[in-house]
Amino acid sequence: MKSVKVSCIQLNTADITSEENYYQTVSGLVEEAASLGSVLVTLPAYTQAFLLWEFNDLESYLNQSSEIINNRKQKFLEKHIKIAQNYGVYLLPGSFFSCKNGKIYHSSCMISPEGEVLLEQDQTHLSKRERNLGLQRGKILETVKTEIGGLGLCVGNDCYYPEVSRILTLRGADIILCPNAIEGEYNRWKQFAGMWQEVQQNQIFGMESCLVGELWDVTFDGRTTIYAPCEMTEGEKGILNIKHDGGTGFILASLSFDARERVIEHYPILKHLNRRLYRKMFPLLYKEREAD
Amino acid sequence: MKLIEKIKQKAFSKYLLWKTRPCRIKKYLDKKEIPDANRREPPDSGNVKIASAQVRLKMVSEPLEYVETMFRLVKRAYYEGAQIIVFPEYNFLQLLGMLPGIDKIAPKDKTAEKFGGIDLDGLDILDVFRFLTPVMKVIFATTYSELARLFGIYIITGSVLLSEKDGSVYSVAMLYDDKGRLVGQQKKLHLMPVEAEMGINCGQEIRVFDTRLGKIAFPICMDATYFETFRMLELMGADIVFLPIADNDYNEWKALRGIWPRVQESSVYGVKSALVGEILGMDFAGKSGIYAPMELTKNKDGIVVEAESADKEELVIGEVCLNKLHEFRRQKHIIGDRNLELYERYFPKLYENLYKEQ
Repeated sequence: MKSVKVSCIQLNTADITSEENYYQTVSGLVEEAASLGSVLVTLPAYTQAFLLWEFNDLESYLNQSSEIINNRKQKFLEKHIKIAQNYGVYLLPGSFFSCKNGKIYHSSCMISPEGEVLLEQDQTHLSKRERNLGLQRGKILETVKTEIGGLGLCVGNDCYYPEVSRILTLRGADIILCPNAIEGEYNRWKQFAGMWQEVQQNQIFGMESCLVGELWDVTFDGRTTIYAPCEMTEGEKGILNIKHDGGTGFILASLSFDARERVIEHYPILKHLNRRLYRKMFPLLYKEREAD
Repeated sequence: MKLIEKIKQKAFSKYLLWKTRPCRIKKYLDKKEIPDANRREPPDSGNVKIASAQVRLKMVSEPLEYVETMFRLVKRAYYEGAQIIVFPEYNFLQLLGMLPGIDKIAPKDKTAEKFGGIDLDGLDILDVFRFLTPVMKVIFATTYSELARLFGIYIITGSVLLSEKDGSVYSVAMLYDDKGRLVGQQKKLHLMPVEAEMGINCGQEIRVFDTRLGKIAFPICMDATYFETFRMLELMGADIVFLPIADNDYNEWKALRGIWPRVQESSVYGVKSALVGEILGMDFAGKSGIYAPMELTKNKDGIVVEAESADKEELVIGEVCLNKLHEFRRQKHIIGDRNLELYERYFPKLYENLYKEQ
């Protein structure tokens, strides 16, 4: 079949000093990635923060009216649509907040090279901090078919919930994109427990863009990585490319759909799901847990 | 089958049952120097000391040699203070040496996985396991029940291929308590492609056993490739999940795809017991180990202890604390959320569609 070149951008909060500086930085990185042949580019979580300088913390922004929140979202999207159009790439612009029926969601989206928002995805599982901020869980997981394969979005902490990647894979995702901001000091094991293993157990490609540094008094650290099933990567590490430092920049990799197909043919994990057992047990177990 | 063949088969079966009769195994173990299990200190509440055996394959024609190996490992676990020991998947292949001429069987392909490459001159290998089922049942029941009772230790036997009345074959592991009583068994729930091709069946029941050492479960090998297994066990209240494995090669990254991520996403302790060595042209390698949510481990890497080699006999010993695990579950910050509406919306239909596709 084909292989496609893709890029993941990593941003360090210390390198971004203003809204204008943010757009300049991102545009420059997307331009460079596109010039090297990338057709799909991702940005990390919380990129909308670089447009919210007047708010001291996230809580005060989330307390704004739904009109303000959605206007800010629209402005954020418009700027990134221009970047996608300018450089002719599929662009995941990081993440932002949206308000629907008075409820606030942490979301991301996929913009086509023509500037169309193909897919908007809300985060479906929340950390304690996110629940305390009043965020709501998304209830839908969509994928979109494109010329470069089926795309699905796994927003932030959703990468620690295997249900999300399983649903996206079974709904046709070939590449799962994760705008991420991992709380705490850098620990590579946190990423193995997240996107790395989601890629392995679903035999898909994974693109994880990390935010690094301080933001709203929280420390985030991680290493932007492009993943593939172990068998098709050097040293069987399951990693096609990784950014080895915490600085701003991007990584690039070529995703070979043929190689992935061969891996699945030899070791078809999803063929051996024990659906009968799941159908019997899960409704029962969740019902019991809900009753608790 | 000709009458004379039937007679030969029946006679050989009788011979094997005679050679593995319980009183012979018991008598053998009775001659051993064994401590008084009743004098053992009761376990600390909340702390569980675990032994995970990394068993190196060696074909034996005499079943007592197998009993001796298991005795040696259980004895060592006992003296290390372990309250439970787990053995690997296919912890019975050594006993195929009881079949005359088996050592002359050549693999079709040296890289063949599990039994897929064994050439039995047209004979169905599952028929061999069906034939051996009564013998294996006796050896397992007697050896592990006796060892558990004599040492006052819980034992997860590792798995053995057993046939049922209708001829269907399952990979089954058993749990014996510290009095030597059979607590229960668990069938493998997800198969390797080669096992499915051979016609082995997968189990349809998943169990958690409430013991003095906490709530424990023991799915088998490939079951840890699927998050669904551990999610069910988590919802059923499991504290420690034991995993007998038998992998054909070892690579630290591929090994990381099994129990380790499952422990992280479901907040349980995990214990892996690996089969290593070569038998009938099949290579096995892996590292036994004990795993925990990374926040509960010294190096924040999720590893309590792991074997040093991937190809030698080892006994991995480590301690886990159930109280710390329960506290961690109450406090956990990033994981622990559920989105039932989402699961109900998608999973039944997606699993159903997959079923139709196949």
